[in-house]
Amino acid sequence: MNTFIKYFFFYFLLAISSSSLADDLIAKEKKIKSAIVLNFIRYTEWPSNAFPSKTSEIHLCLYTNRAMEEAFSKLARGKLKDRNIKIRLLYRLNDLNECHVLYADRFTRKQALRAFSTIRTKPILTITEQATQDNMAGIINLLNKKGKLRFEIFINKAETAGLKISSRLLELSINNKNNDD
Amino acid sequence: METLGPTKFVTKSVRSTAHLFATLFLVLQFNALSAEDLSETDINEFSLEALMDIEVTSVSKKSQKLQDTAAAVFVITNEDIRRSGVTSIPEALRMAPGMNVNKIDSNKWAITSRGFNGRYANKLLVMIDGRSVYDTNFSGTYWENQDVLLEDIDRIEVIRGPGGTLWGANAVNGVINIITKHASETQGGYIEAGAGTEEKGFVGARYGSKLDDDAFARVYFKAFERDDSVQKSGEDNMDDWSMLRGGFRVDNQYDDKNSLTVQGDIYNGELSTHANTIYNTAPFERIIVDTGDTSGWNVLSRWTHNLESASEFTLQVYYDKFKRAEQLIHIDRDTLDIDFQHRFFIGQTHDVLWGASYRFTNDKIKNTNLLSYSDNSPSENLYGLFAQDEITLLQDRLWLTVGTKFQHSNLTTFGLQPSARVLWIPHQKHRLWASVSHAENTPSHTERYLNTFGALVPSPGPLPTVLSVSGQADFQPGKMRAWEIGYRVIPSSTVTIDTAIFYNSYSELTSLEPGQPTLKPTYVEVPSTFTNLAKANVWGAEIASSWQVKKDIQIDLTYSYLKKEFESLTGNSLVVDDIEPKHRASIRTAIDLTGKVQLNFWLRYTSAQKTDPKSLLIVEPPSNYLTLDTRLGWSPTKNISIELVGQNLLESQHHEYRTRNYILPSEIERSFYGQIGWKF
Repeated sequence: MNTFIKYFFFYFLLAISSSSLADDLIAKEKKIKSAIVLNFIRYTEWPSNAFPSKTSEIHLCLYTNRAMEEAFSKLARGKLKDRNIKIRLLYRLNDLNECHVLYADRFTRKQALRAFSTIRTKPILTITEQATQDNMAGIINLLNKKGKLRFEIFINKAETAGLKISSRLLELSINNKNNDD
Repeated sequence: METLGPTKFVTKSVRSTAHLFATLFLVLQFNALSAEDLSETDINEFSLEALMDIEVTSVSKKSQKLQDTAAAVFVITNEDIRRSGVTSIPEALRMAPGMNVNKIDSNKWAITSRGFNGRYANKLLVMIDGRSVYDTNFSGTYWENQDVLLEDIDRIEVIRGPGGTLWGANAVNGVINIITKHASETQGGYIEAGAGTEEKGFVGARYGSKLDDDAFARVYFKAFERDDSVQKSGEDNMDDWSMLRGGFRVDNQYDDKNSLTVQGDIYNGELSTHANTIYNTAPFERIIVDTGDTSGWNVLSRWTHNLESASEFTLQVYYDKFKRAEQLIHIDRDTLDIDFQHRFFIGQTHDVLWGASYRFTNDKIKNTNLLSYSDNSPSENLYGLFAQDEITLLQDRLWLTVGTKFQHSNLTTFGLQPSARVLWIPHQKHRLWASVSHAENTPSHTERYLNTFGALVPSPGPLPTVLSVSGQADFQPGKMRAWEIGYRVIPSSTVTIDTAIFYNSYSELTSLEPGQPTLKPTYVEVPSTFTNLAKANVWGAEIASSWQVKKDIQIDLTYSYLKKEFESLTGNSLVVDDIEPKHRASIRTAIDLTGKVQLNFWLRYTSAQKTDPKSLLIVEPPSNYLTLDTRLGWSPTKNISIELVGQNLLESQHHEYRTRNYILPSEIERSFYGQIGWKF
């Protein structure tokens, strides 16, 4: 048992000494991802009735982990399109009506289908990550292609939701044939 | 040749591993420092094009889907299974904290969580893609029959403790949920083949194809032959086995409201048991090699329909055919199971789930010269109803889940099985949960109808003493009340720690009650009957921690503690299944040496296992043991993988389980195997 305990502490010390470095690498990915998502908001137009007034907040709902939420909180401090951003970390998916943006990177197949069948026609910009099937993807689906972040846009889903996606985003998406890797 | 004892071996491997880690550490530190240092302002000012041009590293992480559950849940992912080098589902379960996995011989396992382990452990519900695979004859699981192509497993959810109201019959000490991948995720071909010292040869193949835009299918097949375990002397234990299986799965998403899954499996195996059998004629004890056949098939269909306002219902129907023919038991079973679940919301605070189920089983049991049954074709109609409401008490902070299950069968009278659970998220890094629940396990046909000669017991006189065992037709379910508290913390984005403590109080437990000895012409018979005259209290703690040390090193630690007190109401009761260690610990390390080479270590410790002095049926419990498994994986190209695996490396053989008279004691050997996999 003694050797087992030694082994245990060997791992423990190793983990302590180096976990902060791994933290940095992961944090970097999350920062970039959240900056890209905020850009999606910048280049999306909501119907005027989606907000109570011209200056009311954009509700950014996150179905993700705590670290990703932290990355969003740090970046979304200023105004975007004359509106403040209010971030809400969701633990359950039964209350999506107040969201203008839903970023979900931890959807199960069932959760994705259930959520989209409810909010499909509502003006909510849905953003998913690495969805393997079209019906599990949001209006925008983030992908990691050879270590770089790429995204696809489902323009028909945006139309059903009543959202306008700017041509600048469409040009950069991988749906645009010129951007095929 | 001198073999290294466990201590020497560990010291040696620690030294060499330390060298390896030291080198790795320097390399990785250099990589991390040379990575571009980005401040937050920089990112805000970057254009979208510039952001898309920055290289990011995706780090593999544990599924977080279940971290907001008010229960003790552990998830074994496909990646965990692949990198552990295990070749079967029972061996994979060793990764979960609180699981007690003992290999009995080459083809049998004793598995349960939180106590009462044995070959016929009867308090665990096991499901493969929603199909319950526990055996109604003994309310346990024939683990040797439960298999799929491991490559196609999405995850195994291990829920310790009563599964709450959601799960079906028999979820008393835990629920094992084996979930295979959606057919869209297994597209293309895959072939694997390998061989080794215990794995005499295995082959598996799968092909997945797209039927149309929203419909996907796959077929698979798998075959293996495994070697005998050994006796203490090193001789073969004559318990080798082989299994052949195949199956299919079709997933069709008709529209965004309706999806249908149809799947099925068929299998056939031959397995041997080196057994010690008891008779009421001389010689009372005979050693036999019992070679048996096991086979079966099943087909399952599941329809999910999304309704308005996020509600949905699921209807699942399956049929399962099972046959087992050996000298001990000869059984042929048909099972039909129908499950309906409906989930809906009331306002924004009530998330309601209710369901109804019906299960029909019919067994045809042939009496053998070892076991006879007073009812040879027991049929059971089991009806179930459940409802639960998850109430949001404080938005995004506090939830209360209350529910109850009701079961009724033509053979058994069940009580209500209520549960209450609370989940509190005081801070995004911390989750606290607590629960209290009542559960009942399903009486088995064995407890109702069996007649056998169970054991030769030490005899005071010149004549041998035989313990005969009989069932009771009106045998009642065992009852359990469980209190649990859990705490999950995420100290940094690379570390998760999950702890649970529990106290289980059992009443009306299964025990064997010996009667008055009667003198027969050539022996003394002690008749014993299955009764519900025992109580027990079990408490313990479980810890699981996952550590992403670097982007290419992950460490998983688990530790479990268990303590049990058994009480016989008559003072004479014998425990039926009872073997557990107090301490279990495991460290798994997954290292990516390069993008193409992976190295894994898995060290496990199990303390000495103690049996209750009243447990007449178990002889000589195993002492403590330490084992090490390693795996070296190499992918020369994206589609080819080559693996070398060493299992139980620290000792040439060790024993994990001593069982009742029927199965002779056997030991598990050190083993090696190699495997090649090809995706196309």
